[in-house]
Amino acid sequence: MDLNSLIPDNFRSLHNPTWIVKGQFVMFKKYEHIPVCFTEDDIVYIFLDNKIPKQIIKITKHLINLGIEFYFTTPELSNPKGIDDFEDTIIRHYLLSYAQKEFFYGFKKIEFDLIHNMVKWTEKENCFDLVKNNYEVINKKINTKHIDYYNNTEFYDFDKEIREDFQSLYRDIQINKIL
Amino acid sequence: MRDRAWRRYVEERIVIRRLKAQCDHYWSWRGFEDINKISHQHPRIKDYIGTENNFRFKTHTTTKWDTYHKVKYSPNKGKGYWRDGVKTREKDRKLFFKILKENGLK
Repeated sequence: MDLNSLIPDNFRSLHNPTWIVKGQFVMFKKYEHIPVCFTEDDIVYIFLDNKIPKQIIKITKHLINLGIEFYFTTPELSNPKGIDDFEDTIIRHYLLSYAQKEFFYGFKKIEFDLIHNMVKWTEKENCFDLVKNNYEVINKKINTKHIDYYNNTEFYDFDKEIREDFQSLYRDIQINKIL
Repeated sequence: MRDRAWRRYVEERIVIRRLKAQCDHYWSWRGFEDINKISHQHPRIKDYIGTENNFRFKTHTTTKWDTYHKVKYSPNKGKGYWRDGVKTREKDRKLFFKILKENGLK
């Protein structure tokens, strides 16, 4: 697959291009070139990178329009040294990114189901058993409560809507698995 | 010549310089945690994108030695010296809001 075809026409500019193909990656320039996606066996893998959430959402929308099979992965994989337990890391990164408000509201806006994509990827890699443990770890992290004793108030790191959505997320994952 | 694109270019250049100065001296056995919660023992400039450091360096962007720590939109706030009598964007902005208020638009 030609990587140049993954860059939409309206992202190309003649002067000072921000989207380029460099080596095996499509990259976006923000201070430095940040890898956005790569292909393997005609499947596109997008780095779910919170440094450039708008660009990730834009390219996801473009790939949906093209009708190409794609999955997400962790930006750690762009490092040539790689990672040891990549299945665990990618599932954790999927769930953690789902809780980031940029991706949570961004994917909702383009009507894309990140969890469905994750379930599809776990089925492809035969690692659905790892989802539950990772879900429990991330769920605990998201519902962490901080208490301000001076003002007698409680606050959380994540929005209320995201926390409420995460409570029933495992049920959604199981429904996606059955369907 | 010195339009929005030029200002953005200068701001970007200064932010890169500041981030570079920081990552040249950074080392920690725990590592620096970037926006994706990935730890880097020797962070590079791109690892700082989206973090508190990046936003702070972007906000405090002036090139004058005496306004180095001041905020972006009022670099010479309260300083009446060589900029007195000079037509500046800050003054234009103030005048614009004054006219809006006078006409009941703000």
